[in-house]
Amino acid sequence: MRYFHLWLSFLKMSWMADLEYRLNIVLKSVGEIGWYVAQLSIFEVLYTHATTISGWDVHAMRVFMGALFVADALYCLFFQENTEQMFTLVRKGDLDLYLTKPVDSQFMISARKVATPFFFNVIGTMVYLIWAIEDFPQHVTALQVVTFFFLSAMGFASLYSIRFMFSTLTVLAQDAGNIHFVWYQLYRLATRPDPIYPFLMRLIVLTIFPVAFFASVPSRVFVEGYDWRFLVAAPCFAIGTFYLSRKFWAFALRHYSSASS
Amino acid sequence: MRKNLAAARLAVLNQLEYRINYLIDAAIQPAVATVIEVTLWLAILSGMGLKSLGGFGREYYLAYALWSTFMGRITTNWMYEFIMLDEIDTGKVNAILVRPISFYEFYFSQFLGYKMVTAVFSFVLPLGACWIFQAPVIVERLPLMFLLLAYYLAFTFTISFCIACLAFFMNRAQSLTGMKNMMMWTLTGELIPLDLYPEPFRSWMMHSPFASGVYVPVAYITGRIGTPLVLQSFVSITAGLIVFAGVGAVLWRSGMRAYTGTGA
Repeated sequence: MRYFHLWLSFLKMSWMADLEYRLNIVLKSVGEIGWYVAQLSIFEVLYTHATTISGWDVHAMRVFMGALFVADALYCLFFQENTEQMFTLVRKGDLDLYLTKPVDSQFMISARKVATPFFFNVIGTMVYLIWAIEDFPQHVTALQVVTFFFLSAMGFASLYSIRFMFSTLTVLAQDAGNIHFVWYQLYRLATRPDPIYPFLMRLIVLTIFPVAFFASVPSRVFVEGYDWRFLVAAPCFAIGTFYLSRKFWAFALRHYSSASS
Repeated sequence: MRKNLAAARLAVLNQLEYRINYLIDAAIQPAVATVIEVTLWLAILSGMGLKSLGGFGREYYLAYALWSTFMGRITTNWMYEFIMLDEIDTGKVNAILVRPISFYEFYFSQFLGYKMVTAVFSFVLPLGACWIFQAPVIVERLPLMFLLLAYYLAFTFTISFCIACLAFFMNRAQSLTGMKNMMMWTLTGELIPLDLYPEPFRSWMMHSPFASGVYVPVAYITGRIGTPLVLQSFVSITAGLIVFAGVGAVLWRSGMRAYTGTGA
């Protein structure tokens, strides 16, 4: 409860800070919409040349895209600015300030800034997802929707944890700020449904580097029905990656030498 | 010219200061990007169950994926646009205004220096990969491709300069960079070859100056298009350059009139 109140304070502060530059709110939000349009254009163009891709038709792909956009917008809202700025915090020595606070340092680093402009994107992407589900030719049951949200929540936890571990690398290798760009490349694997990948790559995105759980696995509930293996695997990966992120953060801090001292 | 070379050298030295960062920027990131781009394209083509797409076979898409990643990285400008925005936003621009080199020239020279030092190493990747996978590349077309790329760099930097000048009037213009690059991502053809778009979008996009950022050079060296479209691209870049240089000049002048040096 204490952490929730603390997060509410972060939200309030972030909102006030963002309101200071109102045009920036619009620009940030619209900029992200540009990414959605770009992603959608790939498949909308490809589906003018074929009716299905690995058995997924354009309706199924829209559901997947909706799931991906919602996960991405939520990530941008809650964590993106914090994880991206970790390198700057380390380089300027500002990380020390957060480490001395009487709260969990991972929480402090991950949650101190809420990118409130993306709140509008969350709403917009939710609307798109609902439209895509309603447009889906097959009947969608309430249980499918509940399962979808459960798997999406688990996928989101995995997304945060993996991304946080990537950012933590900058604490260990203090002149490796460009590591973020590597993350963005790897993240692209999550922007396609996993059934399109060849066997080995599919195995990787479902196990070693479980980016398929961000959006692909949840959207498969609508396209291919239930699969108990995913219902078991998704929470396991969520808990496992979160545990690893805590361990890795603690390990990085043990090897961290302050830049400002 | 000596001033420009000194600025370019400064950029190279800055890049080499953080070696791991440079290694990631020049080698690891392009390698990862290339592998992923190729994986995504091959997966899509296999998933579609087509032997060819838009009249071109798998090997053309393999070559396109390999080269588009390289071109996209070379022609995109994040870093120097952010720096220019920040300089104007924070008033650090004062330090450059008193130098015997213009703001545009100073950063354009640095931009070219930076692109040169990353391009040299990144270039080996698509070339090597094309050789290994036997993907189509017409080697004798490389010089004209590089010429087009170099010309396009002037165009893309001029757009960056225009955006940076907006910082004179806006308190936070950084989000514009993201918006612009997102737009370029689609318009240059880095995302998807422009010839796959339905008409009339295909013609509009292929004849815009932005197509010279990725689509035209890649399509040219992989044999998708001929020399006439490349020559036409020089013309469209020139037109774009004139427009954005004019906009940039107006923005800079009015910006300088409105500007109150915070560091003064």
